Amino acid sequence: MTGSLVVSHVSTWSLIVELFSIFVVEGAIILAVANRKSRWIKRAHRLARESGIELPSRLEDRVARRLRNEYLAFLAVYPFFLLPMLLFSIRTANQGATHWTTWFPWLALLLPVLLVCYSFATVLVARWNSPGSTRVSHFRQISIREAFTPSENLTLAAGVGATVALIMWGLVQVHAGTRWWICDLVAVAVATMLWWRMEVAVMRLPSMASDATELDWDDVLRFRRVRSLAVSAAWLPPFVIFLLDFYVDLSLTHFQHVGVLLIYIPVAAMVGVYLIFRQGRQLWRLEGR
Amino acid sequence: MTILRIDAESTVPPFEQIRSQLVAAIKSGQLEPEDQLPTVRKLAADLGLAANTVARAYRELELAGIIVTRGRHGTFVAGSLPAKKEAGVRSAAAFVQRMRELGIGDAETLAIIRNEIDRHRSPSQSKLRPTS
Repeated sequence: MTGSLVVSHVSTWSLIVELFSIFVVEGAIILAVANRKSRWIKRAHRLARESGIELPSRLEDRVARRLRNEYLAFLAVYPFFLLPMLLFSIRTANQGATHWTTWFPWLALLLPVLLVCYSFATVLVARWNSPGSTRVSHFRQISIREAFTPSENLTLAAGVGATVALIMWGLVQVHAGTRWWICDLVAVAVATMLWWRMEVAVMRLPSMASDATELDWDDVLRFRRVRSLAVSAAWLPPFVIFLLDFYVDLSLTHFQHVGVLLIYIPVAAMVGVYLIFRQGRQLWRLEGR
Repeated sequence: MTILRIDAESTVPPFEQIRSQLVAAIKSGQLEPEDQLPTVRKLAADLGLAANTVARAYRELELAGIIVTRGRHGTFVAGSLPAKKEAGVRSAAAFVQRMRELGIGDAETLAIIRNEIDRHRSPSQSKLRPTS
């Protein structure tokens, strides 16, 4: 889609209108799919199987609704991120390498922080509600460190490392001044701190459970949110920078470049991250701690 | 991991439910020394209680030397008590046990203790803090 738009050199406004109408149509289809209750109940059971937790019929609806809300929250935030990125890449492809080199330091400055905020917004969904007169909670404070295995911690650190490496590589390529080097690296540090604060905020949200099963489900969903926030905050920035650079590079060579095979690098990285993060799906049990 | 349960319809006050369950968890080893407890605000929100109720339970446990608060780092299960305090806690436990054997209620037991504290207060302390 984007390739043909680049070639035709359409105006920015008609492009926005076209993209907006695509989003509206896609949104309508996705909303129609999202309203199918049976689909979310099936997903809830799959999550229960993967997490090693029982899903009693009285909780089916609540878990299914929660999963649907998470999905809708993701959909609500997704165009706000995707649309500017798409416009930016198309504009760069139209205007040539100068545009990319001029804007790269700005992108490196804003992208990590924006992606952390974007990832946080996608995990912000309604709280688990409990109507009972009995309320339960954990005896002790559960720390964020307990939500990750050592290899997952390493993977997250590798994600931050990849972000820093890609930004530094980009700054070298565009011959950025010292001021940009300082600002961009400080921005990565700020994004990391912001991510940590957001993780703490998610971990400390009230649980509102009336029995042990509800509390277990609250833990499953909380750990899931903390873990998905961590993965997207650590791995989305290098992924997006790589894809933008890849797209710009290919569009400048009219998609004739052999470098098209490079697309397998982020794909392999994502598969690796997914496989590593499968290990810790039952950490919510807090066994042996 | 066992859980803290609060029954809003119970006749036992919520702060006492928290206090007694925490003591039981520490005694049984479910909570170990240096384990961090949830913050007052988090526990209050989890259990649907006022922050003051949880704070009161924590305060009493802290006074008994069972937990310690380390400023903004949070509240932790205390390590082993100093010998003097340990002896005091043992005497208090024996006293409470005896009062229960005698059929004296908790409120009355507390009133007796308060009265005895006031009676044994030195004159200088009395001037500083007049008894009600």
